[in-house]
Amino acid sequence: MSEIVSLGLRALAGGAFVMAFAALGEVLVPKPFAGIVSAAPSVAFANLLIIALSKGSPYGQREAQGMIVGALAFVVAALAGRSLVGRRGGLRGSLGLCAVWLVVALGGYAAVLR
Amino acid sequence: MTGLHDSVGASPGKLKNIRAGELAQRFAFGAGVSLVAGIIGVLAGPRAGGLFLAFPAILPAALTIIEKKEGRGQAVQDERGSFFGAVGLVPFAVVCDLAILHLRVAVTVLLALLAWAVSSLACYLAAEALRPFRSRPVAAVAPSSLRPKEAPMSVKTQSWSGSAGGP
Repeated sequence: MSEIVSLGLRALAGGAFVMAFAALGEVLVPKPFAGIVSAAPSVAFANLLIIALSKGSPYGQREAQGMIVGALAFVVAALAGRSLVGRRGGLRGSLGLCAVWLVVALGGYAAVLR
Repeated sequence: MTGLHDSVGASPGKLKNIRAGELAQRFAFGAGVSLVAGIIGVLAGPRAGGLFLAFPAILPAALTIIEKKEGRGQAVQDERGSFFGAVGLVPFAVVCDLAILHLRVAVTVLLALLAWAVSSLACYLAAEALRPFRSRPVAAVAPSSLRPKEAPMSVKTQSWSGSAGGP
């Protein structure tokens, strides 16, 4: 499978899984319970499946190792995000949350994985 | 009293309220993050690409839409729930790391998804069960010998929000 085809498949599958989990989040109640789905491994599920099938399991394992650091960064960002969303609203608060994730994830990558 | 303030469930009828544009927005976020993870993987290696598999991809679109339709309070509640989902991403990635070389890929990611669901749900239920105790007023939990003598008795049940009316 060529690199371009693999990237295209990952994008399509990632988008489809995010859409499916978002629809699931819409029907669940109460809101904090539905919010669990907002952090579902939708992108990871689709991507690991495709990457391991196209490039082999060892490549998928290295991606999973990177994801452990990314997941820990998400925990920190989600903690910070509560006050960010409360103060700055949905869009600006969640973009702030993404910025916190980026800083923590890249810091973790530099410290542990590089 | 179970400690759970709101019962957990699903309202499938709400699916009708989702607009095509909202789904398209979420698809675009998911596809975009997957593409970024893939390109970074090609340029900087699989571990760097793997970081982005845990990027908060759904949140910006989800919180913006929820705030617009239901208000900022509901957006904050949704973000609160995303913390539990984020906690579950760690066992998801750990299961993938440990099992992907030994099991079929499809079995590995399904096991990892199960680990995410169980750990996120357990974390949510534990937090909900502990919530009444965290918000209980001091006078209601302190032994009578430690309570100030002039404290009014009404403090006992004040701000106890559970439907059972307190201990």
